[in-house]
Amino acid sequence: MTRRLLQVENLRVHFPVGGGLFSGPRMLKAVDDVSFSLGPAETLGVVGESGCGKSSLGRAVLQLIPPTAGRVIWQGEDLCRLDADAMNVKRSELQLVFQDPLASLNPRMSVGAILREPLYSFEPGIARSEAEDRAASMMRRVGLRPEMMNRYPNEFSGGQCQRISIARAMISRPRLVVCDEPVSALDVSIQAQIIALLRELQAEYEVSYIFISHDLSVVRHLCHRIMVLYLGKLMEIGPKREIFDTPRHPYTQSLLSAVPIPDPRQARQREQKLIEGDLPSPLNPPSGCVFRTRCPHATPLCLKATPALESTGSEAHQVACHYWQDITRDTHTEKPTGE
Amino acid sequence: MAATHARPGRRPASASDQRTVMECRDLTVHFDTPNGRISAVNGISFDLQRGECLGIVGESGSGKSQTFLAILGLLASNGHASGSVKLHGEEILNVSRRRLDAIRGEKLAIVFQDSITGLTPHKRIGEQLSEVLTQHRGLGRGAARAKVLEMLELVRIPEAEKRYRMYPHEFSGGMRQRVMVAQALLCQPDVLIADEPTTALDVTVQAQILKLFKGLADHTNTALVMITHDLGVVAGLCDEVMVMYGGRVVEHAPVDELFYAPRHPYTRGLLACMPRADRDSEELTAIPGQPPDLEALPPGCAFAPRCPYAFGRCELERPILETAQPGHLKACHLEELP
Repeated sequence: MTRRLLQVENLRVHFPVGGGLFSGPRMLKAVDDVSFSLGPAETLGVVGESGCGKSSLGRAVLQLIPPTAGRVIWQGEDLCRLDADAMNVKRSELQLVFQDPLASLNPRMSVGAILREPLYSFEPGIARSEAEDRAASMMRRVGLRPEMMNRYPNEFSGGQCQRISIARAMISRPRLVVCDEPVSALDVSIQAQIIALLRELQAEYEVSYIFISHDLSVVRHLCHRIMVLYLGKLMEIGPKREIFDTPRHPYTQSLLSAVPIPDPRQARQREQKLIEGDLPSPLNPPSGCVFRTRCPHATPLCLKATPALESTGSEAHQVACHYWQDITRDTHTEKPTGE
Repeated sequence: MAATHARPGRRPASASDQRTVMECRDLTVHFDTPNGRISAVNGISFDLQRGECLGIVGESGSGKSQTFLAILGLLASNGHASGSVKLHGEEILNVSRRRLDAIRGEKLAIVFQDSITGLTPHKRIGEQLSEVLTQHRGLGRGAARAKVLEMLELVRIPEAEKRYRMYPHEFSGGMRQRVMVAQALLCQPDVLIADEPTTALDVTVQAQILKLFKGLADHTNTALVMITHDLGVVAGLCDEVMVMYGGRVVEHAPVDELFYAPRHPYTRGLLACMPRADRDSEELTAIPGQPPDLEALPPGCAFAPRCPYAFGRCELERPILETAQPGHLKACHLEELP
């Protein structure tokens, strides 16, 4: 097992919602009992449909929203127990890149000021000239000309703004960057540029990523391990290859089966196992296994008992399904994949 | 010029004429802005056959949406369209508002990306859908209701009777998108235009909607135009694909040829830069640079600044769309891709 940088244990994020004249607020369980760990220079992909809690998870790890319960152990220290000042010191190591590149940059600050700001707050004594030099070299590193330092975010394209966001996150030399759908708003040709940049930066700075995305193709390309969430619950977690080649959870299987493949012959031959219906309301999740209302294999047991996360044989690959072994047997006889 | 490249040559003219629902020739769209005239779409020509699915692929600013907004008469007020678009031989470009309303209801329908703005928030679903039939088809209320319920079931809305009385906000995103498709299909249009219909949806719901479209192509004569940035959507659904860049068509080919033997460097670049979920792709080859600025298009090929094969001529002279082989059009000075 690799050295652990981050260890998340039984993390819960619950939000009180609504509450009327005659009723108290209801609890929305955005993240419910999720545990995982992350090693140095590792990328963990977090996938799932909207409302599955993937963004809440990323923010709770960074303490941007307070976790309801659980522990977030960062290099041996529980972040949930730090006070605000101590946490702010840690923030130089823990950064975030958002989905909407333009909205996440202050429109009234020049790009240079945006990049220098983290340096001033994390290294209070830093000289202006040094901050400027480091901002310039970071700009060059993410593929922007340092001469553009005095321009404002609205003068840049979406892809360039995302490069600026990445530069801002990287300039304090973080050990972990949570990337929340960083390429979803970009054009296809620009997506590939940003993905390549993230990979280069990881190789260079040994930074770890928690990469939150709904796009399984991008996740496959970028991540070492993958975690599948559904209605705030961890369904399956494991090494990339095992998740894609031998998914054990019926939800993971249907997610993979639903991804469009840019290959007409394969698209025609492929037999899709699509799940029916929409996501249930997260305010009123199904009892037992939360996936059971859309699961083709559900039985009365799934209604009653919540499946525990169990190992599938390889230590790192875990699944929360009562019937994963039966399902595995079925799919193996059914589907030999090409290539 | 338009006529020579309009119809991919692989179909004999006489047979295709009966099947052709829409003929678009030299469609051009420009916008008058305070900074001058911006040309968004330039000389687009294509034919659409009954039951065919045509994919339109491009990045933002490629003109893929504006082309079809122009055909539907839905351009912004500073937009102007010229050229010719014929639906069953009848010119529909720049016709009167009244005629357009009639055509849009009956023969042409559109499904947008954003399903919440496509539905009137304060009207019950059943009411707004049956309105289409009472207005365009002159059906009575009872008959309209029966037809709407039938259509809601076709797009697999569970408990259609109950849903009929509900408001749009009570539906989930995927369900609303299905209602939009049902609405578009009510009058059995000849052409259904879908503009990024699944982009805002989760992948499992996207797959359901795409399956619905696929069934549509197989079971009705409706021609489908699928506007998308996602080559994966195109691969599973379309018969023909038009790739747009900087307001022009750069390649037009049958789906298999486009994917397995692309003739334009941009198409090849798009295919090479897409990660895939079904196999490991070690290195993605990103297309360098940015999509072109329509206000400052280069005089030559719009893709030249990003093209790995560009040579002197590409910067000076704009390549015209011409037949590379029967049924396969490309706009590139290179005879063959290296």
